[in-house]
Amino acid sequence: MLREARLVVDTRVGRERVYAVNPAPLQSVAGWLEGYRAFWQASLTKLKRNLEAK
Amino acid sequence: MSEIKTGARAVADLVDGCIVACVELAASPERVFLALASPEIIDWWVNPGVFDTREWTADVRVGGQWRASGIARGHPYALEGKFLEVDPPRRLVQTWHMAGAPGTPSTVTYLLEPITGGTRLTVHHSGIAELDQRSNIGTGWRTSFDRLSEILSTHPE
Repeated sequence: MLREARLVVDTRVGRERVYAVNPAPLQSVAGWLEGYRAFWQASLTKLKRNLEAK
Repeated sequence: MSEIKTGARAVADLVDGCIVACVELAASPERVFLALASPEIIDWWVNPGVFDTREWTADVRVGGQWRASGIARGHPYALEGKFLEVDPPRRLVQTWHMAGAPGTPSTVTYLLEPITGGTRLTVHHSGIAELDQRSNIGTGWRTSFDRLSEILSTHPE
């Protein structure tokens, strides 16, 4: 499952299969979420400024 | 009314693919709810030069549609969805989707709690990471997701 999700990459070494963590998809998820995180951080900051103006 | 100094904080949960954001506001829950469910959205869903909401229309009742449009980095965009729960001044739940993008909508839940001197507003934006996993599978979908991500991203000042 991890391999299908590309969260690990594998290399055959003789009869064994060596797995390494592939950070790329997770970084993609993190980057995607970061956009939303930044949006809400900025928006709530602006909302606070607007509601507390005067 | 005592002054509330706590600023906005937003954190990403990579495991659940959601954002939790919180801010304490020196305004009543009724006043805050109005800002969440009226054209006042235009005044705060804004990050100058990055994400400017210009129009907001909505039928604020369960099942009613909402739509926001504007300019992000010089390009027009539209967000839309429908209201799942409307319980003023405590709770507002709506779906959230970029018009024309594939995938299922995400969900935004606003919780308003009265606190001394004002309101604690918590935003829970869920169902986000699932979209990203799908975007990694369908190459044709990648562009619009990347673009929305770019639109939503802010640059440090």
